[in-house]
Formats: sequence, structure tokens, C-alpha cells
Amino acid sequence: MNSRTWSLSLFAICALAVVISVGFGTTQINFRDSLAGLAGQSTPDINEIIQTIRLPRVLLAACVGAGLGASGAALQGFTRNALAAPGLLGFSACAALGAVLALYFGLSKFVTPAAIFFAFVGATAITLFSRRKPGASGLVLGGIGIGALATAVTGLVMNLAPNPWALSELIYWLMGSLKNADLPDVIFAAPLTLLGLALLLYSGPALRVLGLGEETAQSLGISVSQTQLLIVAGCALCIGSGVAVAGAIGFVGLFIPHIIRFVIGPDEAWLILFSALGGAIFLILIDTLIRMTAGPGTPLYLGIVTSLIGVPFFLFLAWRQT
Amino acid sequence: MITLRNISVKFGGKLAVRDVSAVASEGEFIALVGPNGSGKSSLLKAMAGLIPHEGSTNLPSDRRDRARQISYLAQNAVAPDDHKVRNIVALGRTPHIGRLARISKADQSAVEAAMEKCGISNFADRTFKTLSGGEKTRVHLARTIATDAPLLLADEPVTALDPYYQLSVMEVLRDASREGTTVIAALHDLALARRFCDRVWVMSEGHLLADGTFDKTLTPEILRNVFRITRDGNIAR
Repeated sequence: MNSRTWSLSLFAICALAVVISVGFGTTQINFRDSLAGLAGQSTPDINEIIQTIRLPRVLLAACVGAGLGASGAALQGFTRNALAAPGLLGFSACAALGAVLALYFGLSKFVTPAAIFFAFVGATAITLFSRRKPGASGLVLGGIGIGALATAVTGLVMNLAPNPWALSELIYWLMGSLKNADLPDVIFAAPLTLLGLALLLYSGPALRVLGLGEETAQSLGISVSQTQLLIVAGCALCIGSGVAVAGAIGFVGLFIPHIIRFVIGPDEAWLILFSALGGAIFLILIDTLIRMTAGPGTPLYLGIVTSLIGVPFFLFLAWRQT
Repeated sequence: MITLRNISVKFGGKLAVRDVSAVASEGEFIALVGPNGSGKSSLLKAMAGLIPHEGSTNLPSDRRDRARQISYLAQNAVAPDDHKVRNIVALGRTPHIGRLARISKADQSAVEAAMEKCGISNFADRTFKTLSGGEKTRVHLARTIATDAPLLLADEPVTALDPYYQLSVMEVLRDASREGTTVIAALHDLALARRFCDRVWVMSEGHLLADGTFDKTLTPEILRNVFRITRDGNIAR
């Protein structure tokens, strides 16, 4: 299959995943009613369930997954490091710090803007850190360092939580979930994610050339610093908006690009689009699974499930690299 | 014609290239020789616009224009292991292709021609990681030839290659110069340089010490003082 056929196939699978996913939940809805409900042509109850509860959640899963997948592919392409991912290079940690600070100070209405603001603060700090020598090594060192700092400050905020209830709120938020997803979340996250995806996709052709090393890429007319700026801004938009609405969802950005690379091929530019679609499909399916298994007790958190799947994969990659 | 005027390159407070002025004509194959650390790589990088430098050249300052005018073969060049040879060579056409545009038929023809010239067409669909060191160098060379730039800079293109690949790489560079490309290659093997190149630039401690034909330039004094060897290839005591 060529790249265009793969794109269309993945788009089709993603659309199908949306339609199938909205049928699952506490109330089971069959495929035909799901389609009718999406078009507002079913019973009022089903229309209501699908359009106001399930569709926003599924669309948000698609947005967050697409942002994570594309960011991971772009970061791995730019750093030429198989282990690079938004979670390891500080983007998620900075966004999470913003949200945790907002929750700590009782500003729960400002969780979303705080997360996106801190994602940009982190992105700016990483860019400034690597200003002396833009490129893979600067981004990796700056990202890991600033991410570690953000994680440490998040730990401090949790340490200073005034009571166990406040602490549990922070912990649950950090586990990542889509259970409170609603339409305003989609209206907030979707345009930011799309803008971030556009920046990452625009950087794609340069990533192909950067595979020849930064020096050779420069000699072929590629600006390393401009490419880095596009990727850092794209990741900040995708990850910031994703963390803002869903909390920290780990490891999707790490392993989705690897699976896509293994199944489809190594082209860095197409990999960004395919990883976006793959990330969207993966998160829709995992969140559907969580809804299907939801019982009377504490529900499973999305970030926990993705990490449980992602960490063994991460260890396998690290083992292969050594 | 390529003109360099008073090129200086500073690295960590130390001058790696000092006030180099030189001219290279169209279709010339110039050997850039000198001991390790004499400034050969820095001079090539300065010409390619990869590092900051003082002085001027008549090469374009715009990044993309410069990339169309100069193709550069880096020392120890790398490429993604799992990419096909054909796709790696096609990256040489980057300066000619719009950012989001697809590769044109003219670009594809240039890629096929470059692979043919470098003798790599028979393994065009193999992945880079399956190639030997000599084959990998020829892939990088084909990528620089595919750019179709009037100036080709090669930084030690034959180092670590066996005699067969050394000769085949030098032949490709000489053929490119005969077709009108100005080729400047940093080389350590003086015999190989003498056999293939038209002219020699001798670098020592950042200076362009000598510029001319091999017989007039590589004098016993230069061999002894710069390369610390004698004319018959022994260490100068």
C-alpha cells in the first residue's frame, strides 16, 4: 500500500472507531442506532446520550491521542532517538504542573488555561536552553532537565497539599482521564490540537533530511533552529491542550510511532500523520475498553492503562538499544 | 568561478582558519591537503555556510540559494538505517523541491542519473543498513551529485575506504569536474590527490600555505615542514 492509501485507510478506521465507540457504555447502543444518534435521527434519549455525553468523550480521546502520537513521531524524528517522547522530554510534565498549581490554589476553572500556559512556559524554557546549539542534543538535554524540574515542583505542590482530599484530587487528576469530558473541552482542545498538528506536519519534510545529520541537512537548505521551533510549538499546543482536558496520558507518544514505523515504514514526514491517526484510534479504543469495564467501584484511569501498556514496550525498546 | 576573500574561522577563541583567500575555476578538481587540525574541514564548512566566519565569498548568502549552488559531503556522513538507497539519494534534490511539493519527474531523472554515475543503481532498493562502508560512501556521493550544484565540497571522502572504493569515489569526483562542476575535496592521500586532481591547496595551522600544481606546490620543504615527511614517503627526522 502506498502512503495515500494508508492515510485513507487510517482515516476510515478512525471514523469507524468513533461510530463504534459511541455505542459502548453503561447503556449499550447498537451500530445502527449509534449512526442515527450521531445524525440526531434516533430517539431523544439516545440522541442525548450520544451527542452530549459520548461523542465529546470520543472526540476528545481522538484529539488527545492524535496530539500525543504526532508529537512523539516528530520528537523521535528530530532527535533521531527512538526513546524520545513528549512525556520524557518535559512537555507533559510542564503542562501537568500548570494544572496542579491551578488545582492547589483552588482555581479549578483555570486548570485548562494553566496547563496550556505552562506547556508554553516549558517549551520556551527548552528553546532558550538549547539556544546556544539548536538540535537534537540540546532539545533532549533541555527537555529532560526542564521536565524533571516540573516533576519536582509538582511533587512539592503535592507535598504541601493542605489535606488528604486535596491530595487525592491532584493524584486522580495526574492519572489522566476522559470521564468528565464535555463539549466545551472539545471546543477548546480540537482547534489547538489541529494547529499543533499543522505545525508538526509542516516540519515533516525537514525531518526526512535531518536523518542525514544536522550538518548535511543544513547544507541542503534546512534550518535546524526553525525546524526545532516548529516542533516545540507544535508539541506545546498538542500536549498542552491534551493535558489540559485529560490529564497526563503516558507513553502513547512513545510507542504509537514505533508501531506505525514497524507496520507502515520509516518515512519521517508521513509518520507524523500516521502516528496522529494511530494515536487517535488507540486512545478511542482504550477509553472504550475502560467504559466497557466500568463497574460500581473506582473507574480505571486512562493514563494508568496507557502506561501499563506503554512501560513494558519502553523497557523492550531500551533493552533492544542496549 | 568561486572566490574566497580573507576567510577566517574562530573556534573557542582559537583561529581554525586564518585569512584564506583563493579562487577556484569552473570544472577544476582541487585537492585540499594538510595535516590533521590544519583547518581543511573548517574551511569547507565555512564555504558551505555551515559555520560562522569572517571574510566573504561570491557564493549566495540565502540558505536555499546556497544549497542549490553547493553540495556538501560531510566527513563520516550518516543516513537513516532503514531507508532505501533511492530515497536517501533523492534527499539531494531537497533544495530544488518546494517544502510540501512532491518530487518531480526531472528530480527523479536527476536521482537516477546520479545513482548511475556512482554505480549504485543495482542496489537502489536496498536499505542503507545492508550496505558495506564503501557502498554507503557512494550513496552519500550520489546524494551530493543528485543536487546538481556547480560546486561540490567533499570532506575526506575516501578516508577508511579500501583501494577499490577510493579509486571509484575519486573517479566519480573527477568525472563531475570534467562535466563542469568545481570540486574541492579534503584529502590525506597525496598520491591519490596528485593522480586525480588538477590543483592543490596546502593548509597549515589555518593558513593557505600554497596553491598551485602538485609539482610546484608539494616541494621537499613543504613536505618536511607541513606534513613532516620526506619526498620518498618516510618520516622527516
